Amino acid sequence: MLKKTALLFSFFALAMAYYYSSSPNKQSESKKVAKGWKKYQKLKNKTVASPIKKEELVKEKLVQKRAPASVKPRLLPTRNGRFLDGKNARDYSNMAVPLKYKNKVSPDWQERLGHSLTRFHDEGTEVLIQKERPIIYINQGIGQFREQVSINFKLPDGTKSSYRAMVDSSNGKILYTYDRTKIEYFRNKPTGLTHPLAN
Amino acid sequence: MLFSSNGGMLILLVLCHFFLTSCLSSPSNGNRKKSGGVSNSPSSVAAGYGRILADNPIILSGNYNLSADTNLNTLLSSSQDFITNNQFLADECDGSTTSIPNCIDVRTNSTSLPLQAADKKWAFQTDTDEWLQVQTFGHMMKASDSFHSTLQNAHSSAPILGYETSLPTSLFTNSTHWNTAAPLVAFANCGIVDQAFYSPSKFQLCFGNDSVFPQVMIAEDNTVIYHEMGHAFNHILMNVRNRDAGITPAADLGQLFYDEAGSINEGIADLWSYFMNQRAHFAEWALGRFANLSRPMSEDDPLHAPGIAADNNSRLSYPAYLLYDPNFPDEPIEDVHIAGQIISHFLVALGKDMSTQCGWSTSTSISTLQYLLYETFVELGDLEAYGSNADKLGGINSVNLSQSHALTWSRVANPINFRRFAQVLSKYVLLIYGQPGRTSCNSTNYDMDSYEQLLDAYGLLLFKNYNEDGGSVAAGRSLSNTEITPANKVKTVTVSKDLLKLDPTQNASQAFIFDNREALVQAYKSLSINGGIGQLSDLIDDSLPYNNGNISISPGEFVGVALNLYNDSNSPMAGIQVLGNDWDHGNSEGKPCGTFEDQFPSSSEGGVVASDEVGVPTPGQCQYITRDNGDDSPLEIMQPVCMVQVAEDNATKWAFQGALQEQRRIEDRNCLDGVGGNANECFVRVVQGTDQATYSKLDPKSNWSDTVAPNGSPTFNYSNLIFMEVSPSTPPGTTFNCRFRVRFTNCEDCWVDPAASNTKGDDYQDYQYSGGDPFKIINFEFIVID
Repeated sequence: MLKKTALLFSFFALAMAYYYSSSPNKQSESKKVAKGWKKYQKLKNKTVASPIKKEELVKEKLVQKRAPASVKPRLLPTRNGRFLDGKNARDYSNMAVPLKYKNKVSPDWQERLGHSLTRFHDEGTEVLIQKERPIIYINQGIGQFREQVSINFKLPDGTKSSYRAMVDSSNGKILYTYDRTKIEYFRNKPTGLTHPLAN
Repeated sequence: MLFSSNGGMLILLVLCHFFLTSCLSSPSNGNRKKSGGVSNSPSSVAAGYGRILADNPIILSGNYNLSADTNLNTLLSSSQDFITNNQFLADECDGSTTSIPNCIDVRTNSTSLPLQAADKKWAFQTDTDEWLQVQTFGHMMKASDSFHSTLQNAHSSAPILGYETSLPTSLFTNSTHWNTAAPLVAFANCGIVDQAFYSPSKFQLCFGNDSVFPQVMIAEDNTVIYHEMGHAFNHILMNVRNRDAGITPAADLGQLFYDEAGSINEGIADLWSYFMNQRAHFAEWALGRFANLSRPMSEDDPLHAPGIAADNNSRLSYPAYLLYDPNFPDEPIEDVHIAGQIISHFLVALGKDMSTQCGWSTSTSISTLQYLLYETFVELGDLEAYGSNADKLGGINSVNLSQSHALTWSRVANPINFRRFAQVLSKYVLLIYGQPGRTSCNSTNYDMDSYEQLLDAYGLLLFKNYNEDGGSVAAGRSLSNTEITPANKVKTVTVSKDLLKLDPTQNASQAFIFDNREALVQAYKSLSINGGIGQLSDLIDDSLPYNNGNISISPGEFVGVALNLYNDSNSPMAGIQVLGNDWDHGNSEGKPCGTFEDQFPSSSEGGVVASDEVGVPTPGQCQYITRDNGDDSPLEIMQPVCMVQVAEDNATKWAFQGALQEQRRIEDRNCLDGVGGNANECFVRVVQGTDQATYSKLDPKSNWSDTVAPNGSPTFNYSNLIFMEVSPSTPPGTTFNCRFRVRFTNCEDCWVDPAASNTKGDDYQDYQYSGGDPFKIINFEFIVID
């Protein structure tokens, strides 16, 4: 009896929740957009970019509903709002120290990255890109603008995968990837390529 | 997000729902019998407690044919397990001096709310999602407690023992022993069939269910939970120094579908199951019962094939058992999980040997193994390139060349393989337990002869000294390293690199070209969703219209290349790596060097030869190898692997591709690298991210196909191929030569510099991996045909 009552009440509560959360409200609409995220979807053989709603990120396991209680974050050196990485990078957090750059930040680097990642993929493929950290990478005293991003694929068959990439801010080119998923397959290991002389 | 002016009401409603349903159990695996076993209800436990399975169902029942429909309540102990004193299923990770709040968090799946128990009682029927979450959380916390407490002990022991430790002094004060940006979240029933995984980018674990027996949840097997936690620990350890230095924590243990670093990762992940339950077998329930894929970690396991035994003549040795799956012993399998068994077996045997020799309990020897692994991974993953606190203080780049190129070194130029792992681990065995003066082993030091003999029994005594001085230019040839006792090397087999060649048998192809359109589109898609390949040039059309499947290389194609390598020795070769990355094989004038062991190209073919350079080699010359991968001098230029034949003075000569671009007046925009790109990659280039190929093993007098598919035709994994793209502007008939460098793990002369001055058999210094000496150079020549 208790279970039935609880379920009935739950249904009512969730219906109310849906009603209130879906009622038109410009202010709440704008809040729903996840900052730093963008979705690129292959539709009609073109790549369509769109913002992502926060709910969608939760659904896709890309953010936690509850923010983690954090340990005091380490103070990393920055310059002009970008994190500094590379050898002796900390020296350049002092703006009095001059720094030359080998590239410039292109306003459309994320678009270019999104388009390139959907290339070759099937209709309906979604790539969700999150800007994680803007970086100035120092090598030999020269700065390079980079973007640390997380890349999340969702294929039409439901397959998902994610990894991180370091991207050139001037053109959206991936410099390297890391944090790739380690999978324990219980059945159906991935297939490769048959020998070209097999047939 | 959800709430604006009506937010308060909504919160109230959701909380009411939450309150009313949190005490109700929702069945997750409803086919199972409900009766019998422990009454695992909230009233049966104290606050903070619940009940989880003490081991996996096979072990607890003693029945290796246990039904998938078994009521797991019958396997619960009547005693209670501490879960958490929090109201939610989340808790902190404890160290004695520090803790990480909200460190681990478990839910059913991504859409579910956190499990709440207002009375803090965590007992549920085993056929519910709630119980599965508690089971997952309880075992994750056990593994986390073990990890943090042994890491804390290791960190405090290091300064007392006074050796050169890799563990940063500020490890705990900076909280770099964990990813503190978010909790490690596990989904106990994540809805994906036949998989469990660790996602470092999301810092998440996922435990699915069996597709054939959907009532079997993978998280019911605690050993799989420990395994996935093991991956998380390995990843955290590899990046400890990177987090401490405040640089991008990008070190990975394993890059490809198959590589030895990935095998080590899997072997150590299995070992975490042994660490937690002291039982040397992994996943009898989730993998073994239903898919015949469980894995032993000791030679005395009955699953093993005849001939394998826990004596030094019958160990699971490298490379003999690299492709051996005890479940299917007659079928060679190239897979990281299979190859990793050699590492797990070795480490279990090492723990037992230490227990026996030193009079330690099993738990002490397990803590010792953990300590050794912590030191090893923290050093190997250091992308600041110091490897230890002392070398950081001294500014000595002992590992991974230099901070600017550490990622390239750890990924391609000098990646972790069985040799490197064994050598660094052995160094810490020596420094912490084995060197004279140590007293922790029955009041004396651990016998390093015995250790070397055990390592040799596994075929892993692949090094000549412990390389305490590392690989730096400044200190890497100090000649002060501790040498192994040569007499201890009996079973370990090393082979000269000269015996690795292209298949010399009659009519054998020098390489296999994969250019079938559908197959290559699929390959690109598979690699790209996993971050295994960079972007292709804009000149390559998305539908790969030029890919014609004629098993040749044509303009406009995206192709896979697998060299047909052959082992011309009488012993197996293993860990074969083909490098297609840029290297120092041109001089400052852009001419190709003919100064390496193959003496190609000759002077008449356009190469620079030794007699062209006199005196002590200086930067820019062919006989001078760059000290910092091209950053040490503007005269040092790293060149792509593929050269091209050009007509010059009525002769054909080899040159880098910029020469052909200039000769043919090809505009930059028609080059693969585009305007402002590298002209020497104008026509043919290796695609970023696929600049290496690996092969697990080559049997004696065999190629790879013969080794992995002796009775048929093998399936190539993507990691067996280097992928290349060809500009549509490439003139048909043009001849290219890609100078791939190859080597293998049990190579006699790929890791140890044979120079006469190297009297103690020291390893090559890191910078030398920019050149040709540590490698066999394989010239892959092809004509681009229309």
